[in-house]
Amino acid sequence: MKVAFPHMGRVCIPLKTLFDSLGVSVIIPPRNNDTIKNTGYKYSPEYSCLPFKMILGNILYSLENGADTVIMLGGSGPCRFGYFAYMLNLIARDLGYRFKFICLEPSSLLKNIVEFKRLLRCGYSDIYTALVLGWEKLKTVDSLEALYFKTLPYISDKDSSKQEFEEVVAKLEQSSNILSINEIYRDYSDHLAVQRDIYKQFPRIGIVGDIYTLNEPYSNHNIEYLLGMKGIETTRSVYTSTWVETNAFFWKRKRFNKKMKDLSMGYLNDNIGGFAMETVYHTLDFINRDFDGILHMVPITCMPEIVSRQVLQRISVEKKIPIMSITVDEHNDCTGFETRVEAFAEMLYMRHKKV
Amino acid sequence: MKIGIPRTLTYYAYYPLWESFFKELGCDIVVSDKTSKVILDDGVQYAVNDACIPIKLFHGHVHNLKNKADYIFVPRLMNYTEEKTVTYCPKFLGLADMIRASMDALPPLLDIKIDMREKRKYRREEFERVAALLKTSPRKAMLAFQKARLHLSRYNTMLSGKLSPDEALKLLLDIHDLPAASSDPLSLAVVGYPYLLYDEFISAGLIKKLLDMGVRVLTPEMVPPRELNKAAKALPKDLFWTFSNQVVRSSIYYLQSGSLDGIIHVTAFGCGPDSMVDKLIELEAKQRAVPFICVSLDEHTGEAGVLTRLEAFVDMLEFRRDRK
Repeated sequence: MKVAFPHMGRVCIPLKTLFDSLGVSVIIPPRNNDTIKNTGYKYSPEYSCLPFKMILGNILYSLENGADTVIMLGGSGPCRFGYFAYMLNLIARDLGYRFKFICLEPSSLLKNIVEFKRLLRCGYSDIYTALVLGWEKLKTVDSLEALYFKTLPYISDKDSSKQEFEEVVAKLEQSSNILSINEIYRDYSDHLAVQRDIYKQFPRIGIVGDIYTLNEPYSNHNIEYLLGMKGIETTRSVYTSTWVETNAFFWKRKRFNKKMKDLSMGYLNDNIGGFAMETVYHTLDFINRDFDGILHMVPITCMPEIVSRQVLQRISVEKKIPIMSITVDEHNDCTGFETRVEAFAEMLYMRHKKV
Repeated sequence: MKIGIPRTLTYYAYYPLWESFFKELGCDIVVSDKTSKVILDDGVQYAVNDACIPIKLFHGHVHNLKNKADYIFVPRLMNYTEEKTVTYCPKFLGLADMIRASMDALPPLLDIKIDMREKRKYRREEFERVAALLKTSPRKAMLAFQKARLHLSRYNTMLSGKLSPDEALKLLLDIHDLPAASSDPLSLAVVGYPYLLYDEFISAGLIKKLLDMGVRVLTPEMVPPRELNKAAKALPKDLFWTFSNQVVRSSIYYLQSGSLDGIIHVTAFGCGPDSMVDKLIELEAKQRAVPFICVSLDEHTGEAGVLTRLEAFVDMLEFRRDRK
């Protein structure tokens, strides 16, 4: 069995660990690039959103290179994501690929685990240990990224810091037990603490939007790195690990949903699917935490984000805080994107100085 | 009390429900004008630029009602079917929030949440809120809603069984007479959302043009619900959107019936659910070797462009039939 799954930022690291420790080989496409994007665009429906096209490109690459099983998450809408898996399956089969298709529906997760156990001929304890290790790696890789982008503007030697960061991530990829994972995180945070210039405070931007665009550097033009190099501190609203925590862990889900609803009341009164409510909630939360500006990333034709985009315009006027929404699409015209982001950053700098 | 109802989106599918509900409660109803260039331009001005054309039109219709009504009715439709997993497009669910965020100095919005999945307690709370706004008792509101539901289901059964396709079209398009069909007409399934198909301005009179060419037009509304449920089994998983389910299932039903010459999918530029719907119909039509065309509408719809595409498609179908 050779498993294929799509990229979303660095989520392939914990997933690879998970499958490796179960003894399943995986076929991981190279980091998202133009070739993969173009394949995705060629075969996906015209109006489907950016994440779908990228994911299709990934899956087709893996199938081309010998994968025989595709694993995807399902969902219950009303965002299109819940239908991605079935659509991918139909399109790939229409193109003539033959493979086994496993869709992890939240409603039948236990059934899926039983199916896995039968398929891999392993025990529940093996699955449990693999899940724990994968979860720990996911949490750590997300915290490492958060820490790096928070500190990046304050580091004097920015160019070599990127190299260092990649090395740390590579080390994390190799590690195979929880103790060493924790050690890597501790070492790196100590290392960054030494380098950080503590006498400065740069403007802070909160980045909101849907999970794929925020976490996949190829689709957001590596926005956090770009802003970090310009001397802007960034905070991402949704990480893969925080999403898993607030959605898959039912004991946390209820409390988080209530918190989200209470804060966004008056702007968005109902959960309308996707990440619309998260976007509104995190925007208001960032404003309460005195951030200097909000950057809203919208993948093209994303339905929930269009609603939240209109709502954010009202929030921006009422709370008197700069909010910029950027639609990202298949044209990776980096210069145009960078110009807009730079102008926004300059403007924030000027406001920051005045205050 | 005057209630303004925008003549778009849910109007085309649920107007009998709204009409009977508000009339039962003794309210007057003002429906916004038929879609026109002015309404479209207003909509484009107020809505966010990523939004699809129906949502922009909705903004225009709300603007049209600005000085005409005491309340503007913007339903928060969550679920109105027997299926529990089905809802509407996220943009429908957030309509009231979108309107509030973009337009100032409006009459108060009447955003009634309609969710048949909710427990009775929550539904009663919603009725209490609405009754307080409309100055009646919750009990009366609840009874009026029950009556209105009956009214709507009667209207739907009429469309999907009792009337012939031509008569149903007359009712849906709000016209008196249709051009006479040719002796052996091509039968075309024209599938798409009701707010696109039956809005004569935005669809550039698509259905009428087809009728003028002497084609028999079949639309999703004409399929009985039982047949729709049967057709649903052909899908790997139900879609999450009520209107989309209707479109996909009715296309599958028409394709399975076997007597179809071609299928036209009418979609709006940038419609999210339609990206999935379109592909599903396309794959299904490909399997059964039925010609398929997708006509996408946007704010620049030139009538000539739509007509050319339709004529080419119909001509092609006629050649195909002659060759057989």
